[in-house]
Amino acid sequence: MTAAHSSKEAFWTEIQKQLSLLSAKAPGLKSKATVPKLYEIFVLSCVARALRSIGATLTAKDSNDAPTTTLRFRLAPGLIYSPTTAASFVEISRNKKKYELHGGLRIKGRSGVLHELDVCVIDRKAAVNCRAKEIAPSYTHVKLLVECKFLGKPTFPLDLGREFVGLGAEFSLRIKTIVSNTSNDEVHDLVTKHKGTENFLISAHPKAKVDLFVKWMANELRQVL
Amino acid sequence: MSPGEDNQIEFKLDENIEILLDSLRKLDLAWIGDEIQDAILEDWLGVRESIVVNPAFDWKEDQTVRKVRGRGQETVALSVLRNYFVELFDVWKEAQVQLSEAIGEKRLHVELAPPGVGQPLVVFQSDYEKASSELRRILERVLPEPGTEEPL
Repeated sequence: MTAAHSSKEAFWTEIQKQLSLLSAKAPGLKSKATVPKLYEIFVLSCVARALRSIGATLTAKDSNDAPTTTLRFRLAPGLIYSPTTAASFVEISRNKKKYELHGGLRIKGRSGVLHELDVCVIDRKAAVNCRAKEIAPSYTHVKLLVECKFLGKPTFPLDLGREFVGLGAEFSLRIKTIVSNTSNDEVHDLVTKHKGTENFLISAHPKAKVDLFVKWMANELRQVL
Repeated sequence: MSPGEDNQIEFKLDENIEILLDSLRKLDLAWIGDEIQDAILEDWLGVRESIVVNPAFDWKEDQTVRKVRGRGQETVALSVLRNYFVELFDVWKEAQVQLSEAIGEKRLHVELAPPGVGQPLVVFQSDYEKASSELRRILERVLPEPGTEEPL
């Protein structure tokens, strides 16, 4: 056995040792469903930062529309009025108008079919009305939609780009964007051709890239809120 | 680490990768193992396709054959591990900080709950950051900067 071979073997043994240690300390990773949700909340927090930067006032609200210090997000997408799965949201006040920032909310598209929006901003009046009447908000109430994809593999798959184009066709609005920690030039071409935008390579690092994304988002939100 | 192996004609996982996937399965993290396998296969297929598109024979002897090289199995596997065990934790931590600052509530608590009235999920235990420091250090040392194509 060569020295290089044995050092390589030692390297992989160490990696496995570390994974064994960490898997016990990350119960959330046992389920694949947790991963996209964490990323969605991260992107939602970037939108919250953007809103704050354009002078909006934000208030955390629980599923009963009462102020809270606990923002509880659901693991699976749900309806705005669902009594068992309703999630917290962020109330937005800007220029005497109110909106709501939601994560994993199901909204009716132009076809009447319900779609999950990973992150969205909707009219507050419509949201309150939908909760009271137990109906889903429609695409006309949406001001912003963000599709979020956190992936382990380095290349953003083309089929997810196609899915996003389909989703975008159901919502005619200015800000519809796909955000991911990975990238793909072909998906960039596809999405921009269909009047969407992509924000690729957005993750906790590098911070400068996150700041740029927040700045871009703030400029867009200023146009529609 | 194995720059030449990504040009092989038949797809075969490296022995170290096979062992890694087996470990992940035993740790109840088979889905991460599956992603690693898919990512390696995609990387290999990209190279394989380029070999088919640019056949080795040519009329001109002096024509340079474009060399396409995949990231390599080990680089791909380690990148996937970095995304889930390091990057995702940072993303979650940053989300909580950003929300707290944007809302202007220092006591803000952010949690994830399964459908129904279930208890919130513990995604990472409180000592995860400290526990993950060694893996973070190892990966920073061996992985190329994100966005570069050079294998290990």
